[in-house]
Amino acid sequence: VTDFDDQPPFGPLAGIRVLDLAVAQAGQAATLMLADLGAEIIKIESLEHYQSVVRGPRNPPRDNEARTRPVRRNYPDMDPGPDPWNRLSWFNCHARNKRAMTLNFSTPRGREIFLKLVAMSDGLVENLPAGRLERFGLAPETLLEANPGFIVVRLAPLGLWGPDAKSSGFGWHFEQLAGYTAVQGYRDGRTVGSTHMDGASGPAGASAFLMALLRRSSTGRGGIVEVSQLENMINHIGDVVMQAALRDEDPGRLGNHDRNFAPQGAYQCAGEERWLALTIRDDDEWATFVRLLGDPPELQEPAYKHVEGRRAAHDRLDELIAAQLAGRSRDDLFHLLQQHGIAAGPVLDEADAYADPQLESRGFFHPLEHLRAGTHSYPGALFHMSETPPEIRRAAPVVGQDNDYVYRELLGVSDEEYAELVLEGHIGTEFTAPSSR
Amino acid sequence: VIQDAVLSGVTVVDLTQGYAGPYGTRLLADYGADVIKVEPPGGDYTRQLGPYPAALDAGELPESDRLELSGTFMHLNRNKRSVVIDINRPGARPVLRDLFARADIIVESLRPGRLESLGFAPADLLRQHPGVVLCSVTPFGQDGPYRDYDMSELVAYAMGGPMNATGVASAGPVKLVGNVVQTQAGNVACTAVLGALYRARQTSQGQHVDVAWFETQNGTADRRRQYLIDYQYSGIVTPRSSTVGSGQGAPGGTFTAADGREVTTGPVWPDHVARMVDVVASPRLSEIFAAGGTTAVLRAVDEVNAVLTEWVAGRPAREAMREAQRNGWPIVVVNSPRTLLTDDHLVGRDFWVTLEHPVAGAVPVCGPSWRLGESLTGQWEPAPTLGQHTDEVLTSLLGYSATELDRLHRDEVIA
Repeated sequence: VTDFDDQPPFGPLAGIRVLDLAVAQAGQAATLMLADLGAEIIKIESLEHYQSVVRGPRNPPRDNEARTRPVRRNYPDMDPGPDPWNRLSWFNCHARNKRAMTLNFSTPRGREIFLKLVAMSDGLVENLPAGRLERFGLAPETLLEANPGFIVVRLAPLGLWGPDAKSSGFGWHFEQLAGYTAVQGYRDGRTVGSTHMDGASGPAGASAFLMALLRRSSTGRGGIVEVSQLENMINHIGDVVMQAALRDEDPGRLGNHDRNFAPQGAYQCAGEERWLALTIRDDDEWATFVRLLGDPPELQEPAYKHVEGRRAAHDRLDELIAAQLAGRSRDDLFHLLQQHGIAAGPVLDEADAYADPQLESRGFFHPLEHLRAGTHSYPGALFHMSETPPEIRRAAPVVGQDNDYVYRELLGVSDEEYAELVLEGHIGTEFTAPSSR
Repeated sequence: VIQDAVLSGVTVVDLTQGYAGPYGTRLLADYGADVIKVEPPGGDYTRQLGPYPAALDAGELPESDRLELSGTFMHLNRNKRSVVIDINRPGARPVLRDLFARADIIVESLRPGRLESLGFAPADLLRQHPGVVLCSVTPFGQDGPYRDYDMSELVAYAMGGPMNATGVASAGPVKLVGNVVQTQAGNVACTAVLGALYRARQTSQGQHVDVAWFETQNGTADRRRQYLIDYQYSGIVTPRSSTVGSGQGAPGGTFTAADGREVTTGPVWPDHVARMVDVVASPRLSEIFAAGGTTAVLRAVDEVNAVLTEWVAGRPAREAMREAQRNGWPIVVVNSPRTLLTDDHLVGRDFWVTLEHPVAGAVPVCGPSWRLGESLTGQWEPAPTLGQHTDEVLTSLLGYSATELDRLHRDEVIA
């Protein structure tokens, strides 16, 4: 098992320590990026407050029923085991390269220890429900008193202030509020939910932390950084919003079509669920595409030579292209079209991704041995750096895996005090609380 | 000039086009960096993508200004300066060299290898300017068998994202709205650049950052990362099903309010049932709850939905949202891009920023993606017109004389 022990820090953030109070995927995706930049991330969990949004269901199904497969597939060999919280895919996928400690900061002693950690750390990332930190006497202002250089990144769904700031909900609520659902989905009007907010919030939270860190290096002062996940998400559809701003129009749901390029779509090739996605970006590409398909007469309609004609006949073109691609090899077409400059690509499922030569060549996946989940191949960093390359040093931590490191090495806790903290329920590896949800 | 301006004094030379690179550099510009956008003579291609103001269709704006009026371009390039350089001309090389010499950060999205062919191989650039952060943002990255392949937004989601799992089993896989995948790649690039900049400030050592859309998607928290591990753990490929927010199997969904707007409850979550019963205060719903608790309510899908339909219809959407939220039951109003512009919460937070565009006039654009201070202060600039700052940058930043400028214009190196 590779580990942090006895290895020098790496990356541009070597020596930076960030406390991780993030829940769900958004905040934890932010600390993942900071971890890959070399920051030491310490995830803090309370044994007395089981958080199912972090560690999954307390008692996942253990049957062999088909209907429970969507949950059981989150565990190695579809077996939650005696400690499902340590074996959960959606924790282990982002928590590699992070440390984990246990501490109940809702008690006075826990709060005191937390403030000591704040004093020796550079920042905190949290997306707890509004008011949670304040309730435990850990308002950001208090943290900044303990450490004026401390950076508090708060990923609040609707921001920290404003008429509806206290509103809560799940991702699908915020997606509706952000205007996504009105414009996302099939052309027949069926909407399609996604979780893009989590994908968008990770790099936003990490960037916001880094900007505050840069500010600190010139002013010496930390501060509170606010990421309204809603506002960040609206920025991600800013080009669509401009249609409303400039034309007072709602674009509706375009499916796989594009406002400009035509045709664009995903078409079924030979085999089961073998789809090829492609975009024809101009008239020359269209001519090339038709030629590469062997000049089928039905695609030679003069109206199709120009993008306006292709846009007008897009539904019909989708049918014609689908008929052409049916029965052909998805991967052969992918390479053929790309070699002629056409943006085409297979809809890669998870098995395809693990077999993909580009990801392989770039060293994207990393085999990691996890203490309770065995050895598997995990996605690596989202970026490459020539001088300080990201390193993937160890698998996700099990609950409390780094208690010794944090309490003894960082905080200098004596054996006696350590034993007390175990008795008081701060230190341990087993949750005592029932599930919060 | 910008709120808090944490990056003021940072010079960025930006050779990116499209969505990903420009969004990444817009983030730098929004927080105070001086982003010098180098455009080809025809402009960034997003100038040709619109959406264009309705007034252009109506002939109220001159057709000759079309390239200045693209909404996509406005969104991605505000707060930047535009310099037109035809990098294909030999005379462009010294101009680029001088620009690079002034840069703290260089961001580019040229085809891999193109920078080399222009005489600026990344290793050479870093040797000449050891402190510079050079970032390449491309579909597949700087090496590997697909290095020279290309991507569109759709292809990026198809190959990188969880598109195989997006949609319903009976229909094909479907993309996400707009250009969110490339936008996310741009934000990843911004993160890596900021990390490299932080280190460059500590050590005076820059480096080359290589961001591939393909990898930003395969590692995204938009479930692809999880689905990959699910597959490793179970051998199961994620089936295509859109259960997110569809309300299947539980009461709830989307309902129309008294003002014609919609609200959504999502599928009602077990924890929220008691709160919903309190808020709605319907005798029939209370009766079901009293008799059979949460389980009974969740099973009575049609009856509960009938009660919710009536309750929502009795008040304006925003009021329904607030009444429910005050009591811990998550309901939100449903927005479209149009209603976002007047959304009470966003307006209350001064999210929308109205910029005075030199051709289009007053145009609202998205506010900052995050806030480093309490509120927006300072002056934002609208997206530049094509080559608006060519002479200004070459004169004030590079110290070129009027004679040199004339020569470069005449040789069509700059515009």
